Amino acid sequence: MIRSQIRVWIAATAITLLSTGLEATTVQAQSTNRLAIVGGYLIDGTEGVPIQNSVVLVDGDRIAHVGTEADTDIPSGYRVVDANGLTVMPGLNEAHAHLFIVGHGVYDEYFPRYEGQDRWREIMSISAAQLLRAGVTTARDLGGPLEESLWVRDEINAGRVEGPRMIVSGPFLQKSLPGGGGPNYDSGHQAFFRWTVDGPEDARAKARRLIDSGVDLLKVIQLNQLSPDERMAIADEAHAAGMHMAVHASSLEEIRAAAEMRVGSIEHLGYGNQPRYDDEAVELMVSGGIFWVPTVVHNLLIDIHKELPERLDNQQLRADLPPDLYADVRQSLQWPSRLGYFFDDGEEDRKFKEKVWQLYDAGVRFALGTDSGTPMNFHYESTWMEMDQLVRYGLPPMRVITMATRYPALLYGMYDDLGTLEPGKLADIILVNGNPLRHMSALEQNNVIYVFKGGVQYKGPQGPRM
Amino acid sequence: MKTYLHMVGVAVSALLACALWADDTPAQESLPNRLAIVGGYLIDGNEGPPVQDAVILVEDDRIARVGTVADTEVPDGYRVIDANGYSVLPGLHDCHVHLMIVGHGVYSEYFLRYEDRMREILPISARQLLMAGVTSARDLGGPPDEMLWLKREVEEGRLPGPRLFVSGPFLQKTSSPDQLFFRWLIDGPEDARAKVRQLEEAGVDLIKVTQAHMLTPEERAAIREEADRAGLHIAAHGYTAEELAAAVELGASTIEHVNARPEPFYAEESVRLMAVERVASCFTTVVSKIYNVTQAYPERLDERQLKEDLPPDIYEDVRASLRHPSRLDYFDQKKWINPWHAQKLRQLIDGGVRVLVGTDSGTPMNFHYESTWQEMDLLVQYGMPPMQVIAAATRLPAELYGMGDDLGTIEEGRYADLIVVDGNPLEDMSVLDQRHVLYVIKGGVQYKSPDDNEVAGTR
Repeated sequence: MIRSQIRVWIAATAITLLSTGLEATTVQAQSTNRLAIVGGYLIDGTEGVPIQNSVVLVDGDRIAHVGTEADTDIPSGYRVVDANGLTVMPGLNEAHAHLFIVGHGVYDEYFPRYEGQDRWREIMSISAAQLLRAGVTTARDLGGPLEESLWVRDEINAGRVEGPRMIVSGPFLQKSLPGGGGPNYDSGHQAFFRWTVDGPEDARAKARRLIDSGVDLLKVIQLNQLSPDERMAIADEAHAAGMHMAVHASSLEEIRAAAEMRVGSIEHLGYGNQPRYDDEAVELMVSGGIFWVPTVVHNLLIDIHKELPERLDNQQLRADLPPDLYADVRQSLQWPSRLGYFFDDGEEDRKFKEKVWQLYDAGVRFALGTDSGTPMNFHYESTWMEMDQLVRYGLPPMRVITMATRYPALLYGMYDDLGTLEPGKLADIILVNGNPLRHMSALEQNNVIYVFKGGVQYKGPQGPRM
Repeated sequence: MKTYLHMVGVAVSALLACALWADDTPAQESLPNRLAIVGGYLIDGNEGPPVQDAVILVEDDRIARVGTVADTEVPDGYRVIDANGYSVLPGLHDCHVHLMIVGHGVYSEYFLRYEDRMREILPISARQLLMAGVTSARDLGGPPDEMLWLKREVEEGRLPGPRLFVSGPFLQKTSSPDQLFFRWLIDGPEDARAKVRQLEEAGVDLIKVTQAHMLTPEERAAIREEADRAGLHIAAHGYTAEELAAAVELGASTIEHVNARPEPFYAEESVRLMAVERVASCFTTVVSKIYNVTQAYPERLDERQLKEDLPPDIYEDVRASLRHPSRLDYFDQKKWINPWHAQKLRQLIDGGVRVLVGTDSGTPMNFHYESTWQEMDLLVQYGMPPMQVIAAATRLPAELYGMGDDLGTIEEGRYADLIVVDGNPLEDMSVLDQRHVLYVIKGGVQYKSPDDNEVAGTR
């Protein structure tokens, strides 16, 4: 019964696959991969009541069946993963990462140094592995050098680098590069991942160049500096290519521009001067179906650091990074309170909470993202910390899980493949110790026991779990 | 205190225990058991600001020095544990455990079935506690011979477990017959006197009394006098004003449980009495809150550790007994009281009553390997400051026993009972969950390292 269903959807999904741009991912999974994840507590991403004693059957890189022990026979030839005592969930989705940065505190040192050394592929591979081991099976990289961003995505898809499925923007498109003496840093050092546009024709040409290179989306910032023609030239190209856009926008003018561009998502909470969004801005986000990626935690890290300075001594950072890079990163964080990056008026937490609730109550859908890689914001822990923070603000844990699973898949237009544990979807599955609905720290990487992506196991005990 | 005498054995047996329980112990010929825990974030149990880059030097079973990387050099011959990125705390102290039980749902079945298998069960419970970072535990009720046997085995390094402070049997007025092997009934003041003396001679550390209000004033006085003379403290149950007054009259040092009577608040006079008489509350909210926790997350009953740790037949029995938690008689009364725990805790704290971390672990669905941190987490959820909760699980119990010079904080001269955990418990108590407890050291002997931790090992 189940087997015949499997054949049907393999045929069906093979077609959708070809059109989603995920072909490369699926090739490596062997057709002999048959997996039964048995006995766990299933939170499938649809916000229904969790299922006890669940069974998830994986055939190749896809989920073949989701049921319970009572109603599902495990066909012979399946490797059984005993999930008893664990929660089974869709792999997490990090909607705002920067793989080419790893928490270094001073951009004006970091970018020239490692651009000069041509180290981006090495560094991005490390970040990718950190994310995956933390249970992040899909990540959207919103800003990095073009060639390297595409390289890391494709290497991961080819199975040569360990990491999440990557959705990459490559460079930002923006109007200008603020020079030294700007608020935090000299953007001149960042030209290699920030392309400036000059006039609508240039904007169109650069957008097209990115699209032709194979990026998955366009990242656009400085909407208030770009002329309407420039903005719309970029937007037209994105829509013609069937691609979504991620933008920075916090003022009413910027959000109006974003709505006009029909962007997919607005990133960040804005820069904190005004505690609430303009009502019209909220209305535009709701009616435009624009997702919001609040990235709360990276702004709060200075406070989190004050509570636990020890987090900078995390042994994983040292273990993962090459010694010279580790020494440099660690040294750059010697005096976090002096870092220009952080704006600390002691009011952020209150203002962020207010904005989060304003948009949440209005019905704006959030996608969970963290800006991971920014100063002190490490890939191996940012995602669960952001989820935890939203729960601390009072959002329902089940909805926060949705923000990290189902909503991003919708945002990317990949809901047929990702975001929930349902038959036909890619087998991106994590097994965690504990109940994330009670403690989000069940998603902290120590508690992430198994990670599967496309049916392939990347973390966890091999062989049967006795 | 007589426990001191037992403790002497710990130092002697340290080497033996090293060989038995720790894989990566140092070459012992040069400097036996010299240990340096370097670079961690030290929460020492005194409720002061934590210390960064701490250095703790351990010689044999005691702490020789506490400093920082800046002011303390690690002498040659010390094995170094790199605690960078981790918090270092005193080993946890659970003030209310029952090692004879392991979470089974139906006592009337359990005790009849397993009375003869206590020496098989007790070591399992003791090991579960220790691996969860609990380096001291007060066992408030069990069969005396077996409890004292276990205490001795642990002290002499033959079994891994926390330092144990045991009461042996409950003293009380009535009991169902199947539980008489750990409940001694009191019949008159002379009988009370004789039974306390018998326990004293057997070697218990304290006296446990329930139903204090049902004892006669003479019986209470007899227990109090004998316990005083023997230098044993008393732990007693008490909920209503009447029960609490009787427990205080009995001379109890701690009042156990918040869970048993359907009263939304403590009587004001009870709180005042406890504060004035310096009687601490061993709150044990988790005993019954575990019902809600399980309703929300039934998967916890399938925790594989339970299966791994217990003999197959006992595991099957325990698991079967928990098939329908909502039908368990044990929670019938208790679960309706759960919503009141927070306000009762606030009453105690506002009233100046010390609150201790105890869990009643072993009771239905209340497993030794996770009850202590869950209790701590709940106390924080109810509004108790995390730093105070940590003190309630470290320094305060040691002071209660009059052992403040030996246990409870990380200071020079204290026993080297400490844990290294991945995360900041002041921010999130769930980092005291056993998977984040990376190192467990008791009396200078390392019982757990990240290599023993399946999860950390997969990093």
